[in-house]
Amino acid sequence: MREQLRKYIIDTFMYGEGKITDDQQLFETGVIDSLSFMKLLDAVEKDFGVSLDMSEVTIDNFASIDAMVATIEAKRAEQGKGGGSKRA
Amino acid sequence: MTRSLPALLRASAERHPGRVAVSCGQQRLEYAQLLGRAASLATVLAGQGVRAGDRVAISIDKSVDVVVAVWGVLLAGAAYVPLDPGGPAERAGRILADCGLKHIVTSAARRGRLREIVAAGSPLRAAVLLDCDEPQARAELAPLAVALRGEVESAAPAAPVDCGGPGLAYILYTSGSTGQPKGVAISHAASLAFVEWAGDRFALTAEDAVSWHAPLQFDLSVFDLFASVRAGARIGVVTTGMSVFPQSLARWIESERITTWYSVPSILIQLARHGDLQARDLSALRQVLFAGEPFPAPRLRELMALLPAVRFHNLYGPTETNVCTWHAVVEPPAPDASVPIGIPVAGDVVHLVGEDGRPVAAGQLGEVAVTGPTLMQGYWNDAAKTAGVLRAWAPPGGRPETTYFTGDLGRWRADGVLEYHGRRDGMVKTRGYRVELGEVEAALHGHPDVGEAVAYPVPHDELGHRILAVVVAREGRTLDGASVRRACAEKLPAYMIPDEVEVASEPLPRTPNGKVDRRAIAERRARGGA
Repeated sequence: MREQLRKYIIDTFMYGEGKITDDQQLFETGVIDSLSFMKLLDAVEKDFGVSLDMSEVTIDNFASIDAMVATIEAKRAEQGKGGGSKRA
Repeated sequence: MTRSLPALLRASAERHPGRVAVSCGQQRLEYAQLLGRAASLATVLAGQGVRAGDRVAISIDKSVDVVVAVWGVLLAGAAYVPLDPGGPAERAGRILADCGLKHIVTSAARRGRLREIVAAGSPLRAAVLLDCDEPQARAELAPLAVALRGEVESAAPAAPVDCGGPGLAYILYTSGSTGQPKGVAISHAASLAFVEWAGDRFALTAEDAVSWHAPLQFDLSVFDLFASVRAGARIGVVTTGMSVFPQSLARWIESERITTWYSVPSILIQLARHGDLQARDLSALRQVLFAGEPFPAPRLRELMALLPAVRFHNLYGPTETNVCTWHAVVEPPAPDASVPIGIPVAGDVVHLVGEDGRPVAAGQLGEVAVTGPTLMQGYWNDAAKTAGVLRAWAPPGGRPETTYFTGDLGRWRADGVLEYHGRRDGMVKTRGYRVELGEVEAALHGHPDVGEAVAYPVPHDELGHRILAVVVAREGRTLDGASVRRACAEKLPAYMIPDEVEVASEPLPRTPNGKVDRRAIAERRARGGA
């Protein structure tokens, strides 16, 4: 999951070049703005089979690859118990 | 001593030493602390050779430290020049060279980028790393003279320097049509003319908390940073990351008890759509100011319905004029109406001038031309471009006055309120930013295999415009869109990079006089043709 996310972000937002670390803050440089973030959100939902409520789409949940992995894993555990919700 | 921006900070620090001047996340800086840190930075800058009238670059991610840096540079008597901390090093290098910048204030996080800039060659001689204590930074950044956090913290505060009136306060670089960014040079007097008008008009007091959303290189930040300090209000820093997440932003507006919000419309549209504003207690918010691009009426109606107790104001003005007109949006606009740009402010006078150089008749479209105290001094280091837009012009029967020709088209309504009607040239707005299509095309041509290239705008409901491009490969070469976008990323800030680059196999359509026909390309796309 980690490597898949990393590759997606590098390919989509960094034109296939450069490195990002697990704890790197991804949104402070302005490279991913609100419109391109929607693409990332769609990819996360599709590729990892989770559906997120807008109230879960926060900077704390997406700030870095570490944060995204934690968010997706928590969501998968919750949906495994049948508690999924659809994004508005 | 002449009137200047630093006097605003000194006065507020005296009146409200213990009030919070700036907050960012958990960090808070009181007025006395802000003045103390900024004045110590001014001492360090003076020690590095900065004198009144010099220029100092600032390249720091949105934080309390940016505010300290801005005031430190001004207290040293110099003008600040923002360099987009996340932008490409190549563009930063061109601005440093154009502006002859010998000094920079930056942060530990931007050390690597500074090293890249120094290695590529620049006029820089000295750097201050405001938040860095690592001595190895000195060796890394050689041959620059480097001052670290400890030196700034232990420096005695600088005595006031006379830098006011006609002296420059800042130079904001905007997109240039030939590919070279141009520096809009604003004096203390021009900045103050706007700041004082805005502080009074929007009745800012020490009880207010004002959002700082726009990047420092964007002129909206002038209101946020200076009108707030003049009032002794609190500046709430919206970090670049937070502004991507409407829910986070809405919670922040609530928890920071923001009273005055100022931004481009696109972020407000995101907030209205995805911010879940009904669920938040935004009772502190008393006014929302927007500028930078037209606010689509249906979207503004949605926002006004969600925030019935809030007053809305549209501010208009190219960076070259600070802000020159203002419109209070009292009633939600009709869904098919446009939001007027209003009436002149701060002693400015607006004329609408026709192709013949004379004022247009009532009800006709004309170029918006502005005279008055808020105008720029000119473009830095570019007398020819300055002379093209800043000209002596006299209305019939009047005296000639220095007049800025905006390139924007306007029309007076019968009730004396000004409407905006687009551009005369190849400049477009995306996310409120100015983009010269010529600058995008110059970057497209920077790819070695590009033969022909055109950038064109398509209207977008939330962003104003998206920028798309079509390229044709040189004879015998092949191209893919991703590599062209990557080449653009080396030269352009993120918002200027075309969202899509189409590789065409046929030559681009031309107008009868041989120019690439942007309109034909945009229309072909709108029809869904290839």
